[in-house]
Amino acid sequence: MQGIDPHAPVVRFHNVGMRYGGGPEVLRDISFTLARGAFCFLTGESGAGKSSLLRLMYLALKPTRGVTALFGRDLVTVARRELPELRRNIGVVFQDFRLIDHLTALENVALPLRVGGARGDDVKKHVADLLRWVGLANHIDSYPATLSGGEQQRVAIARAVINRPSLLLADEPTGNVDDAMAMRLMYLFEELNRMGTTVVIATHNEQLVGKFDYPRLLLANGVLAQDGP
Amino acid sequence: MTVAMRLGLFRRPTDIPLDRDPAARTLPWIIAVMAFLATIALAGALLLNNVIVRWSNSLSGTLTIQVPAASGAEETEARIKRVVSLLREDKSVLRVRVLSAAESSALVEPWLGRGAAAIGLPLPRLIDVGLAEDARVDLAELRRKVDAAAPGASVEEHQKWLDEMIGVIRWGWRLALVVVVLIFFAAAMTIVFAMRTSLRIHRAVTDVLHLIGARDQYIAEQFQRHAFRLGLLGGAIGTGFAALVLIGLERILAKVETLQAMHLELPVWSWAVLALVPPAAAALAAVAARYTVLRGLARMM
Repeated sequence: MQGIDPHAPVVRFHNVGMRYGGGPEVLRDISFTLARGAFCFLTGESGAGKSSLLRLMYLALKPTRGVTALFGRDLVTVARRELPELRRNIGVVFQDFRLIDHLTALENVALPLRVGGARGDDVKKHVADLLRWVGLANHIDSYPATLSGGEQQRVAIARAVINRPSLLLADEPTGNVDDAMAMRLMYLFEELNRMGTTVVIATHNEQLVGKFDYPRLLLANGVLAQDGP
Repeated sequence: MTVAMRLGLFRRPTDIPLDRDPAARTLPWIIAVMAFLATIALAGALLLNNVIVRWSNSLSGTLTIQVPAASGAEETEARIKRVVSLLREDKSVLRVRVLSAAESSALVEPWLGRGAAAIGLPLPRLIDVGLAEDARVDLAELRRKVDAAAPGASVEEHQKWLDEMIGVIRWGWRLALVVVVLIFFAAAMTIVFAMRTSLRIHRAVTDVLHLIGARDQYIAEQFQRHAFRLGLLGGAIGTGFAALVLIGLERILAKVETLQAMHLELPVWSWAVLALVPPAAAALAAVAARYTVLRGLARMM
């Protein structure tokens, strides 16, 4: 696989459009660039296209038109077999968490490491430490079904950041937790950002956005109304 | 809980909960039925192969001369002596053995009952002739000489009859092998459909695995290991049951005297071949699962 360019923008979209099947375009003429180490909010009302834009960024969808490049690789030229390597550089917090029900919290969080080939006690210790940090010390061996919405969300966040990804995409990551935990999670994202991770947080929580001085990508009806960094 | 789980074959946790599939419950039993049929068909093929080998070794290169009973016992013995002496002059003849009246009587015993000779039935006397390897015998000339020495005597050549019989048995052997292949093909198709269904059921989990960077091979290996275990379990059940049936059948056949000459028995080594059915079923299941899953995953983003 062609390597990731460390000097290229982490995300570059140019005139991107996207539609589901034969429906109308849900995203139109999206252009923005996120440099390495950027931190931004992706905001907009429900149905504005935030989740679709995130899906394009975490390589779950292909654009209908335009140029999308991640880590300097134009996705048109990326072969399917190269996608896993790119995805391992992306951490995703899904809005619906997408935890695997029959795996414990620890096993869910360890999944990106296992998928990357890591094994052994170090993995377990590292994962357990992170779960303690997000306040789940007593739920390391719990199954998702036995956790509250907020606890599941924190497991999902831990899974997204365990790899120290180059790009972190979070879809409403504080939607199910109280304010104190929301701030604690935001500090976690900031800490990752300080270590070089590019962070994009999709939210419609204006109060949360207002507490931080980060640029925002504002989506309205599938169009970027306000350009980001 | 499936049989496989009860037997502890799923101790290693997998990312995909394959042991909860409906297929995980039914597939071992379907494979067990297939393995049972395949083992029986394979045993049939091995048995027929054994018959072909035994008959070829025992009857090829031999002739049987049948000397009809003459008007008196002395005359019959004299005719036999004449035939034996002319046979011993022939360099292509390696061995000549005259079957006693009792042996001839024993040969027809299954049809005529004990003591057929005792009640005065004029049974012919038999001479077993062994020929040298690659011997070229002029049968017409031999028949003429034998008839001159013992009027009415006949020379039975086994090779033609043997060739025809072996030809028929060989067709049966081929048919049994075709049946084995067809059973394995049907098993492979069953696994393909089961794995397609399983892939659909676990689409949400495979999507997550893809999105966190799992390669297709990582996901396919989990299906492959799962199918291997189900195949091994089903194969062991089916082949085990078939082995019991075959052992029972062998014991029943061993009691039927008229069938003993046909050598209807499995050679010891053939049990080792039959023991390969479960690992073969497991390997087939694993390969079919891997192929199906990799093809299915290739259609995803």
